[in-house]
This record gives sequence, C-alpha cells and structure tokens, in this order.
Amino acid sequence: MRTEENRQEFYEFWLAGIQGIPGRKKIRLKSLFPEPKELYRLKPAQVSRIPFLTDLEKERLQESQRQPEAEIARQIETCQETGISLVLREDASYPSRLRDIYNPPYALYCRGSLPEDVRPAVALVGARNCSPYGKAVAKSVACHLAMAGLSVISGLAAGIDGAAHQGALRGGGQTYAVLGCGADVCYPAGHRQLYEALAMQGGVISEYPPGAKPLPMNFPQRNRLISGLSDAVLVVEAREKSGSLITADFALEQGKEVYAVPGRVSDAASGGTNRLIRQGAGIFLSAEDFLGELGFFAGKQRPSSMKPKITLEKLEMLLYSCLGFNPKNLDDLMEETALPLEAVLANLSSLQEKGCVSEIYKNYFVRAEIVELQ
Amino acid sequence: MYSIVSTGIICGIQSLLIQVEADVCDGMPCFEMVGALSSEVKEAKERVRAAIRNSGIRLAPKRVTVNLYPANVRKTGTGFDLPIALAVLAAYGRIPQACLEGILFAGEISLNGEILPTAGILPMVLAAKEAGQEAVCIPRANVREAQVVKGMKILPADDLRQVVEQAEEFYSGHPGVLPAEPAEPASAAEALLDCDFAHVHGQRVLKRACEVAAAGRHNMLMLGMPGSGKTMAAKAVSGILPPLAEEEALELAKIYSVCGMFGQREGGQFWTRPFRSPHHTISAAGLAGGGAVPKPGEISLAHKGVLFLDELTEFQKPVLEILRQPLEERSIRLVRSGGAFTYPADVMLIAAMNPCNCGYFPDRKKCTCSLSMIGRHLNKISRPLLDRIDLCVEVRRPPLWDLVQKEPEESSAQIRARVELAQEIQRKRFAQDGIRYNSQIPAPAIGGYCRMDGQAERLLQDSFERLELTARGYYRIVRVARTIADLAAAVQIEPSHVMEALAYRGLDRKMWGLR
Repeated sequence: MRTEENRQEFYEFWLAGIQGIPGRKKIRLKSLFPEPKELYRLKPAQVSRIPFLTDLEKERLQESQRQPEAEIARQIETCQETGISLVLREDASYPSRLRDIYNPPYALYCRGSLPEDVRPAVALVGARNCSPYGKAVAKSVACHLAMAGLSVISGLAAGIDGAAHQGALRGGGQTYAVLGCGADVCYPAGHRQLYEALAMQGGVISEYPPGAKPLPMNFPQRNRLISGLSDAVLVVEAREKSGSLITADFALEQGKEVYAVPGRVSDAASGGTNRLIRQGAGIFLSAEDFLGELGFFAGKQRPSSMKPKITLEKLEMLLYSCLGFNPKNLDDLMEETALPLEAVLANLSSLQEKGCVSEIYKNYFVRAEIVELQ
Repeated sequence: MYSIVSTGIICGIQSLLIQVEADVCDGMPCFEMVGALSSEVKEAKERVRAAIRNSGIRLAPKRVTVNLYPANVRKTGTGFDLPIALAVLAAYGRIPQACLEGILFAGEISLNGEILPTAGILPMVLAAKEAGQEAVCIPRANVREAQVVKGMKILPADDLRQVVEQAEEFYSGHPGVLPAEPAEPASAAEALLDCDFAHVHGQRVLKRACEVAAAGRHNMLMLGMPGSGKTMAAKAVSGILPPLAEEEALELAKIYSVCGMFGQREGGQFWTRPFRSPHHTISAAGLAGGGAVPKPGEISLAHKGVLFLDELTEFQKPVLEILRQPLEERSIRLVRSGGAFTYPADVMLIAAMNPCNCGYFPDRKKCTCSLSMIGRHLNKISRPLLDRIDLCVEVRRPPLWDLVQKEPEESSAQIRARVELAQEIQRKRFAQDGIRYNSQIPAPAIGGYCRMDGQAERLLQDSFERLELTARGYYRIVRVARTIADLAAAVQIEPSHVMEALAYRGLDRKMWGLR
C-alpha cells in the first residue's frame, strides 16, 4: 500500500512528466488545481472545458491519465537510484533566473545541484563540429570564468560544449549542463566521464523526465534554458545555420547579453559568430576583457600560475613556433622546420611530455591551450 | 586396335596426369566418350572428328570408344582435344603407338585442325617432368610457358596435320624441338618501373612508411584525400621489394598459367613481384577465387607481391572479410563439391581510403562531414581487418613546390637496396623459426625477438597509457619498431625507432574524436 506522501510524489512526477504541454500551461493548470491529484482524476468532460489548452494538449493530458502507473513508478525509482531530484517552480531552490522567462519549465530534473542565484553565470555554446581553435578558446575561457568564480552553463554536446565543461572543471568552478533528454541519459554517450564529473562539480539539468530520448525537437527548447540560466551567452563557433544561434536568439528575447568570438571570414565554422557580431553582438577579445565587460574582475589568479613555467630547448622552440591552433601533420612540420623525421618525432614527443603540444588526430599536432613559456 | 596417350588436367595449381585410351573396332559406326567428362570435354568429340577430316585424313566408319582415366576425377578444360585426336588416329593405325610414348600432349583444336593455346600448360609440364616423361607436345602459343621448366623437350604444335606428319620424327630425331631458354633474371633489377619513387616528390613520411612496410612485409593503410598520390605510392612499393626467388617465381608462374594469364609473366616480368589492384566492385569469388572448379582470385594473383585495395571503404563488407584468413595463413583454401583447393595467397596488403566522405578530414576548414558521418565512414572497415594492418600513414596532398622542384629524389633501386639489407637481417634472425618477416612474429615470441633498451621500453609504456593502446596495437608497434631498427641495422630497438613506429600506428578511432 502506498502512503499518502508517496501518492503526493506520484502526482507531482505525473504532472511534471507530461510531454506536449508547455511549462507555462502546466503552471496555469497548477494554479487552477493546486492538488495535482484533482487534475489526475479529472473526467474527460471536465478536461475538455479547460479554456487555455488546445485540443492536442487536452488529448495529451487524457493520454497521460490513462498511462500505466508503473511508468511513473519507474521514473521515481530511476530518480532515486541515480540521485536525480525533482524541483518544481514553486520550490525555493528553483533558479530565479528561469522563473520569469517566457514559458518557464514547470519542473526541473536535476542531477547534482542547480546554479546558485547569487553566482553570476555565463553560457558557452557553439558548434559540435568545431575547429581545434574553437575548442581551445572554449576551454580556456571556461577555465578563466570558473576561476573568477562564475558558473559555466552549456549543453554537454560534442565540440564546443564539451570543451567548455572541461575548461570549467579544470578551473575548479561549477559547471552545469542542460540536456535535451532525460537527466539520467548521457548524450552523447562518449561524454560519460564528463557527465559523471558534472554531477559532482555542478549539475546535469533537464526538463524532460528520466528516460526521455534525445529527440531533435527537444534541443531548441533546451537552448532556451541554457540562455535562461545565464546572465550572458558567449557563442564560440557557429556556422551560418546553427543551433547556437537559436540560443543567442533566446538570450536576446530573455534580455541577456550576447557575445561572439570573432573568426576569420573564410572559416565556415565562424560564419554564424561573425554574423552575430555584424548584428551587434558583443565582441569577445580575451577572458579578462570579457569579464570586465560583464562587470567582474578577473582577479589576480591566472591559470598559468597553476603550472610552473616551461623552458624549451632550441629545436623544441623551433617546432613549437611552427605550431598553432590549426592542426599540422608530420609532413608539414618536416617541411617547415627542415628537420629529419626522427628529430621532429623526438622533439614532438618531448613537447607532448611538457604539455605544450597535443596530438589531436593521429600525427596532427596543435599547440596545447594554456601554456606559459619562460 | 587400342592406343593410349597421356595428358593432364589442372587441380588447383597442380596438374594430375590423365591417360586417354582409344579403341577402334568393327560394329555400328559411332564415337563414344566416357570417363567423368564435363560438357566442354564431351564437345571435344565433334571438334576432333571435324578437325581430322579437315586435315585431309579419311577414317573408315568404325566403332570408336574413348576413355579418360582415372575415371573418378572430373575432366574439365579444353586441352583434351589434341590427345583425343592422336589416340583415335593411333587406334586407327595412322600413327605408330610407339611415337606417342613418353610424351604429354595438350591443346585445343579448332575445326580446321589448328592447335589453339590452352590454360594451365606450366603445371602440366611440371607434372610430366615429375612423372618421368621426356617431352611435351603443346600449342606453339604456350611454348614460352613450358620453357620455364628446365630439362624438358618441347614439341610445338601448329596444326593437327603437322603433328601427325612429324610424329615419327619427333620420336626418332626431335628435329622440331626448341631448346629451353631460361628467362633472364637480370632484367628485373633494372627494368624501370613506370612507378618509381624517383617520380614521387615530397611525401617524405609516406615514402619512409612504404620503405618500412616493404622491409618487414607489413600490411599498410594509406589515408588521404583524392589525388594525394596513394595509388602511385602503392605501385611503387612493389618495385622496392626484392626480386622473386626462383621457387617463388615458379609458383607464381603456375598460378598465372592456370588462369591463362601467363603472358603477364613472360620474359623479364617473370622475376618481378606482381601488383594487383582490383576495382572495388569486385565480388567475393573474384577476390578469393571461385567457380565450381575454382580458379585463383586476385589475392592469389598477387601472391608474393602487392594486393592494392584502393577506396577500401567502397568494397562490399563480406568481400573484405574474406581477406582475414588468407592474411593470417598466407594461403586460401576453397572447398567446393568437387574437392578442396588450396591456392597460395602470401600478399602484402596495401589499402587506401579517404579519411571521410569529402576527403578533407581533419582539415576542419574544408571538411563538411559531421563526426557521426566520419564514424560511419570508418565503420565500413571491420576491426579484425584493421587489426591485420600494421602501418597506417596519412597522405597529404603535396604542395606545389614539391611538384615543381627539380632536385632528384631517391630512386626505387636505392630504397630497394636498403630493404634487401633489412630483409637479410630478418632472414638470419628467423632462420630456424619458419617465419620470414617481422610482420609474422607471433605475439608470444615478441619479447625474444624484439629486445629494447630501457629508454625505449619506458617510452612505449608511457605511450601505451597515453594512447590507450590495446594489446594487439602494442604488438603491432613493437613489430614495426623492430623493422625500423633492422633498417638502421641496430641490434636493439632504440627510442627513436619506437617513436617512428608510434607515428605509423594503426587507425585508432579515439584519436579521431570518435568512439
């Protein structure tokens, strides 16, 4: 037999988990029926009289009433097992930044914690299909922001999003991922490690119930939460048609600042960000400048001070100076340095050991992101 | 009267001697043939009758019975026409039986009596020699093929009438015999090669990888955008392999003979290593060999040479999977209802593919493929096949200044000299062990053969962790490092050898940002 409290939880999960009814309408429903139990037991005739629901939404509501209870029980169980908490809009812990956006989520499923209201937050978004340069920028900016005490919000996607989370983790700050699937689903699966790390040092947030699949239609909606949870949005790399530009649009709608990292005009990967700048977005120059623009000071701590300064040998320096953020392969390096293969390999190996160079694809090398040379 | 003539059929790349008996007696005139004959052999009856008549020989209508034995072997092929005709003529008493003794006959006959070339002559001549016969009578077009075998008399046949007229001469004085002239092995070394490394400008990493692959007979995968010179490099690799040993050349000649392609191995070609580059639409039977009585496939035609698979991702998956077993066992065994056939298939596999659909990855400025598209592209090649490829090298499109530079590049002959030295070191090392090249070192024996100095070992351990290598990947790197050390004539594997081997390590998906 379920206890009364259990039943209460059951109804909350039921209402939160109905898909196809926007958050703002769920909130109106909640104000009509303060007890979700009443709503659950509403007769079809009564449902059809709710004025603000469309026919489709009414159908969805009725469907969910008929849904087997085991499904809801499974969701509750998953939440308990994986440590996901359900935060309703009326709860105190609900992020106040989201409370007043258009169509706020009725409830958030959250693994880990939610962004603190007092701590400024910046969203870093960009292409999945990004250049090594974009990745390096995202990582380093996120690291700086985290060290300055800001939260970093992103979407756990491959490319820029992942790099932003990684950078923030490295900077020792809080970082939050808003997903387009259930908070218990790691999408993309390759980011499992990052996903676990986020649950410890920040949070994984979703408005979709546990087990929800990453449907393409969820992602634009997810983007409104990314911008909603932040004070400013920085688009690192985006093509002309990119989901990141949707995030930027939401940010403008919600009255948040939008910044973009400028790219070369010939780079397709920067087409979208350059257009944002043309349309009047803030231009990102450096992490310090960006923090100043936002009204924070970078503080004295700089990432480089975490690592001892590195000294390079003459040949290492020669190789290092040939490398940039665009990957170069062994042939390119042999040509530019006029060194034999053996010497190039030996010096690359020692540069990698010192953390100055990383091999991003097999035999393609770039400069490592954050290195201070002596 | 009774007569008997010997001939041969092809089983795999061996030949089996067959006796053709004929009997002519009184009775209802007819021509009867027995002895497990396939349809093309049954048709011989019509050809032989017409050819005898058109050669101006009139035979009285009698009852003719022809038998081919052993009767448990199915007779296929078109070489039976000549022996059948001679057996019949001998049975009629037109040729003395004694003239046919000790000679193997083979050849197809056209209706006007002309003797046409036939496939598989070389193995038949070898079988005849083994069986102690003195001479072979074969179509003139196949003479060069038979000359490969030393110490056999060759009687070239032009048409049936000539054979009949000269039969007795053949027997007594051999006026028509051609002396067996050996092919000149010297020509191979100098034969310049339409694809020589001297013509490949720049591409230093690629050239070096080819040298290493050739020295240790490692299979190789080239990744690079279209037009970056992958095909040219692969062709050039067959030119830096040492020339064939006599045994190897003979075995290869047998394979080509069975396929009726001996023309491709005549003269100077006899000593060069084959280079086969089948189109990616090839069928399983085309690659492995096939048919009710299997014919060797491309993998056997590339025996002791290079099998080049361009556009590896475009091959049908089941076709590629066929390669797994022959790459391990260096031969391919085909089992059909007619029996099991083993063809040699000791190939060096060189594969080439684009890194992604558009070919520009990892140049993200130009590549328009998403990561999942690249993942799908790479997924077309199965892991077990990739596990058999030791070296993987990226081929970059050469910049203009590489193409126009006038400085002479190293020629294939110079590279081949180094390859030969390295192979000599390997031959000495493995003298007792039944293997021949570093790529064949079995995993348990790696520790024994591939000694490393302490620094190299540490470097390899670090890389094992950093690159998250698998055990297989680890062994592949050690084998390649051993070959690089052999090229440098070093006893122990040194750190620089390991570093270079690491640069050629197999395609690993993690490095491509894929899972």
